[in-house]
Formats: sequence, C-alpha cells, structure tokens
Amino acid sequence: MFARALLISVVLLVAAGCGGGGSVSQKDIQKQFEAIQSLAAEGALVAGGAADGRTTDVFVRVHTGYLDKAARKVEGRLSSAHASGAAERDRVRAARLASSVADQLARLGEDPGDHEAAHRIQRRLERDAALAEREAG
Amino acid sequence: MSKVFQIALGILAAIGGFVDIGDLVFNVEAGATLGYQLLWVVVVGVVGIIVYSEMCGRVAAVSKRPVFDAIRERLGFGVGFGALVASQIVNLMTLAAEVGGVALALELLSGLPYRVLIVLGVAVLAVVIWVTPFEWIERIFGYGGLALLVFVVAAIKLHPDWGDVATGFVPHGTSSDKLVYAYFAVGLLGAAMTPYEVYFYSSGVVEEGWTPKDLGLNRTNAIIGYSLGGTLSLALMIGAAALFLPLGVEPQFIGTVALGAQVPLGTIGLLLALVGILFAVGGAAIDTCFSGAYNVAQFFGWEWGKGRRPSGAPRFTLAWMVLLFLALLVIMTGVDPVLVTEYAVIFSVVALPLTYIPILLVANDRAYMGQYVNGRLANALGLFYLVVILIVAVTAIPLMILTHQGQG
Repeated sequence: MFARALLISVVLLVAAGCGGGGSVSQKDIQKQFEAIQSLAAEGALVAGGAADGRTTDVFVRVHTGYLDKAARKVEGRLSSAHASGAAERDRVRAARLASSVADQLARLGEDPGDHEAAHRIQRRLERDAALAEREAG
Repeated sequence: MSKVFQIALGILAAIGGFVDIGDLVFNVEAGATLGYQLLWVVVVGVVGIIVYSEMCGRVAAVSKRPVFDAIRERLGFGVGFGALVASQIVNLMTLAAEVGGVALALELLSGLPYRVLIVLGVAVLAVVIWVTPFEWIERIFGYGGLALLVFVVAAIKLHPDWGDVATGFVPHGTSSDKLVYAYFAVGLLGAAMTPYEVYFYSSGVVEEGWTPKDLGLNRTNAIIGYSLGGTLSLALMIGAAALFLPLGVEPQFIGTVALGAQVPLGTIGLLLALVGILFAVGGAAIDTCFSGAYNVAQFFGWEWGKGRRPSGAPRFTLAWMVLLFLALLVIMTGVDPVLVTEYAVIFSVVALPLTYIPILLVANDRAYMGQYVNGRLANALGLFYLVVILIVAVTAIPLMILTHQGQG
C-alpha cells in the first residue's frame, strides 16, 4: 500500500516537474508575468528598430524567432497548469497575454521589412509589456 | 619588428581577445538585473587576472614550464589528475558554449539554420587551427574582436547616469536580494578569471619562446591588454543597465547582447556588435580548445605545441581534435549555449583554486625562479586573490542553486 502511494506520488511529481499540467502558485504566475514583460519589452525594442529601418531583416527574423519560441513556452507552461482561487484568473490572463505577445512576435518575424506593421507591433508590445509589469506587481 | 610595435600588437590582441561568451552573458545579465551595482567586481576580476597572468607568464618565461606542469609537480599525480579532469570538464563546457555562440552570431548575421552553422563553424575553426600560425590566430581573432568596442560607444550614447555609474565602482550592494547580488558577483569574477585564460597564456609564452628578457613585455601585455579588455566588460554592463533594466528585460539570448548596440547606433552598431561577438567568441573557442589539449599533453608529458607540425605532436593534435568534436556533439544536442555558459562559468569558479595555488607556489620557489621570484606586491595581491578565489569557489554552486541561476 505504502509502496503504491509512493509510486503514485513520484509519478505525479515527475509529471508536475515536466510541466505536464501541475498546479502553479500566485508567486509562480507573478514570475511568468515578469517573463512576459521581458519578452514583450525586448520585442518592442526589435520592432522599434524595424519600424525605423535601423536594423537588418535577418536579425529581426532570427531574433524574434527566439523570442516567439520563449513566449510560446511561457504560454504552454501556463495553459497546461492550473491554480486555485484568484490565482486561476491570473493564470488565464497571463496565458492569454503570453499568447498575444507570441503572436505579435511571429507577425514581426514574418515580414520584418514592413515598417508600418513593425510600428504597430512595437506599440502593441509596449502595451503588453506595461500590462505584464502591472500584473507582476 | 620593433619592440613598441610588438607590444602594441599584443595589447590590441588582448583587448579583442579578453571578452568571451562568459563575459558577454554575465556582464549583460548583471547590468540588466542589478544596474551599475557590480561594476566594482569587474575591476576586482580584471586586477586578479592581471596578477595571475603576469605571474604564470613570468614562471613560463623563466622556467619554461607552463601551468599544468606546475600543477602536476606541486599537487602530486592524484590531486593533479583530479585538477586535470575538473579543468577538462570546464574546458569542454566552455568550448561547447563558445561553439554555440559562434553559430548563434553567424545565424543572426546570415539567417541560415543554426545546426548547419554549428557544423560549419566547427569545420572553419578546425581548419584555422590546423593551417594558421599561432601569432596570426591571436591577431586575426584579437583584431576582429576589437569590433566589440562598439559597446563602449553604445554605452556612452545610451546616456547613463554617470553619478550612478561612479557609485557602482564602490562596493555597496543596495539590492534587496543579497543572494542574487552574490551570485552575479561570483559569476563576474569567474568570467574574468576563467582558468583557460592562464593555461593558454602560459603555454603561449613557452610556444613563443619568451625568456626573462621578455618579462617587461609580459607585464605590459597583461596590465594594459586586460585593463582595456576589462573596459569592454564595463561597457557591456553599463549599456545593459541603461537600456534593459528600466524596461525589465531579462537577457536570455546572444541577440539581446547585440540589441544593446543596435538600439543606440542602428544597423552599423548591430553589425559591428555581431562581427565582434563572432570573432571574440571564435577566438575564445580556439583558446579553449588549445587549453584543453595543452593541459592533457603537459600533464602526461606528451610532445605539445601549435608551433610543431601535427606529426611532431600527434597526441596533442588528436587531443584538440577530440575536444572540438566533443563540443560539437554537446551543442548539437540542442542545449542552450547561454545556459551552458552560465554552468561553465560557475563550475570554472570551483576549479579556480586548483589552477591558481600551484602558480603562486612556483612563483615563490627560488629554485625555479631565481631572481625572478615573486616580490612583496605580487605575493600580497596573489594571497588576497587566493582568499577571494577560495571564498567564491565554496559559494558558487550553492548560490547558483539558491538563486535559480540569478532568477531570484
């Protein structure tokens, strides 16, 4: 009986450790908001360079690819987890925000030479960064 | 070649060759996380590497014995072998990180697939090591690395608060998270005093046939070259503090480092930053690869030296080839080079005492050094740094675990 309980506990712990839908605390969510803020703010800097024509298309495409991947990872981590009480509402909001940031970054990477689109994406990412900063407290 | 010209070349190579992927990652992360608070640690680290590089260069020029010779003799076979294994693990991790850094810089410049560029980068490094003379390797990568001076211009153009910058040179630590502060302090010291630099430096002195007549050149190269190289580290931290900290950006990518030059200077700043990173990291990859081969060859008493034909030092040649191949395998697994860098720097801190204690012992041995034995200043500084090294060696890994690699 004890051995079986131990085995189940270990399996659950491993699943949680692998990001397979474990529970997240308010502090974890706050950390994810900080990560989203960082990615959005950095994305806004890249978009700003693209909007002003002060960078290279290759750099924008490759670097936003890395930022996009990181934002998707945050989104995936939050989406597959669950939280209790007020933290659950924050988890959903954080996952949505991460998804929005990832979408903007992907759009920027698809057409780095479109200055107007880059300018719009820059403003959107700046807004997302500000929102994430507020949520992170 | 005139002496002055020779010194100038050496200094230029040292400036460009000082910064490697560990410096790029830790200086930018420290600036973005803690602002200017840790500028003083860079100064402490640079003085430390000057003290021990001068010492091991002097030992090598006088006794014709590089660092690992001294390690085996002073620590005995057992402990010496432990030091060899530890240093080779750190060398391999560092080499893998540098190879990944080369591929990332090439990817940001060309847009070609990362894994293709890893293979291409390793192939080019192998060809360069095989065909290019020692002094030209040093110069090509050292001068190419000078493009990193763009970060000095970028830091100025970002208009940092110079009052805050000045305060950063005085240890004060206003950070609320003391552990994160300590983690970055340890990492910055490790990045500045990374052991492969002294293995490479002392072996280079023997390879280039320096004698006691060249001790002035040794001292000048160490002091001016590393000091000016340290300026690049300071510029990276100041730029990151001015640009990334207010925005809450946590640098995780090599591209973020380049962004620090692109934002204030535009396309030219970006290209210079990427080219500088490519040469600095590429040069460090070659240094690390040689260091690993030097260590194992010197420990087992094999023929060694880049100056020899591969057939004249076959096991040395095989050693650097194996190291490069292993680094290729490690980085091809898809592991993040920035993460590998962080581990490599922290683990190298643990190996620091095994490298620096034997240097200090031999530099004080009259039987080897004769009139060139350490003076009072060299001993005082050497002992001070030994204490610092021992403290950071003990605390490095616990701090890495407790702070989740500086994430708090």
